[in-house]
Amino acid sequence: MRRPPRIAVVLPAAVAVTVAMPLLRGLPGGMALPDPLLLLLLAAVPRRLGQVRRAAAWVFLFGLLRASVSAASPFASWAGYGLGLAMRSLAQRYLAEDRFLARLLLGVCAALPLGLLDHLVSARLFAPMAIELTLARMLLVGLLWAVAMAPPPMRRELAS
Amino acid sequence: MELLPAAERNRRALAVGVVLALLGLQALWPEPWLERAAGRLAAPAARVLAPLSAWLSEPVEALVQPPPSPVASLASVEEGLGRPPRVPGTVWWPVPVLERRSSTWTLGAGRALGLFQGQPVVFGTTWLGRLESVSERNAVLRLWTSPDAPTGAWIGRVEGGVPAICLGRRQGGEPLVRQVHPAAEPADGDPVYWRRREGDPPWFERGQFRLGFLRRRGDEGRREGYWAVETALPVAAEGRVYIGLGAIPPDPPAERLPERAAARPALGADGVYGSRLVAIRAAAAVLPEPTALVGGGRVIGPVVTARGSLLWAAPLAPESWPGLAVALEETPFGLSTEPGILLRPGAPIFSRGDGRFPRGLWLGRIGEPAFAAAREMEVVGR
Repeated sequence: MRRPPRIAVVLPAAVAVTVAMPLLRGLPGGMALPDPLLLLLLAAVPRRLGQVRRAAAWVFLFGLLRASVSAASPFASWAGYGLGLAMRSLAQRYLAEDRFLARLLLGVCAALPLGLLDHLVSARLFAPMAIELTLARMLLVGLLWAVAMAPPPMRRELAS
Repeated sequence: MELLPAAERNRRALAVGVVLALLGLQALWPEPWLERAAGRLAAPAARVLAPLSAWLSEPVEALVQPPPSPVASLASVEEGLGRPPRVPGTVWWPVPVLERRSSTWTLGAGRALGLFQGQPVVFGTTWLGRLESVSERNAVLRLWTSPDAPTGAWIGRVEGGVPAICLGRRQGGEPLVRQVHPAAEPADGDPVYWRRREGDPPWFERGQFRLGFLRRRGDEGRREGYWAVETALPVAAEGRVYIGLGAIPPDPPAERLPERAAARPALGADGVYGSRLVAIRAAAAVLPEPTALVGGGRVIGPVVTARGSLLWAAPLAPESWPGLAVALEETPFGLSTEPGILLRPGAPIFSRGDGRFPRGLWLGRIGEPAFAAAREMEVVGR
């Protein structure tokens, strides 16, 4: 099992990603990009939720960072990130990660709560999001997760 | 890795599940005070990170200005429309409406301006009611359509028409007409005028203030027919009303002007919703409740979120305004105000005023597109 990245790496990366988020969203097609903080959170938190407090601290921090550059409610971010981790943990019990489709499904499951919450909250903020955008965000998280978590031999194959 | 006993694991999972469910519920059905508290929690991070983000993606400065309002202000239109006919010995004084409830309105003038209990309140030739109570700076108008305000009426014409009494009904029902003389034969559609009561100056009736039109309601076949008054309260009266005074007061009445603070673009786009939302920085500390972003005199959209001095607004087309609106329609007699948003393209509309947005904000013309920024922007609050 891979070791999660250290705090000294994750924290500056999270701040950098947060600062870049408005720029990314303002790019053409930027609305379809996955939430970069969610990807970082999935990488930072161990996949087996043994340490709930540590995971909760990351969720809280990432939610605050997200709310500092967005009108999205911190509660939606906290719930989305927390449920995302929980969904990933739950899905891992039933899915073998050595298959691409399984990892893709795992990533989509992890992105599902945040995607749905962002979609539902957008109408209240008078900025309704098309369902296609929400689906694209979730699918891209799944794809990135499937590629990034590929077992080493498979990654070498993909690289060649 | 040391595994927890199964019971302990289940307890933790349950606790985490409950917390996450509560967070999700708050996200979907937000409790305003909790949202405000969370916003304050995120404000320090926003203070540091938003400028960095703005440095990375420069907010777009607007070059175009939205078309201006066709009138100086909604208040000036209301004042022109509401001026009552001349009545000897009476000065009609416009008083702004500060707050509206179903049966009573709070007015921005009181004893200091010479107002007293029972004084008549009108708008143009429409009778509105009487002052129920008066404090030093405010007064409460009881609308004649409310259940607790029996009002004398003339049916057909003033002095010589059929005398009757009108009784308001609960929940906005049409006022009933009672005590009509048995020999009288009123007709459906007859105008109904205000009739003075004991103590009122007799010359007030010369104003021919109207209550509405007489209508026959109920099932005549079952002998359940009754007379009611079809009322038409002018929408412009919701902004200001006229009170008859014996002399011009020394000071003007207190206007309830919305609080304003200058604003400037803060971010290129929103971190989650992209360019659908506009991030601005304003001296919002002076505004207890920022509600709308105004650019070049026109409303850009409602303020949806605040993190300290960093605010987000949603640019909206005039017809998508989430609050109540009032349209100015050209008529052969000049401008008139109509409730709601008319679908005639080009109709100019203003905010009507409700619990959230102040009255009289220029929203634009029906069919105009939304615009995201202007050279001069300000945040309006309550």
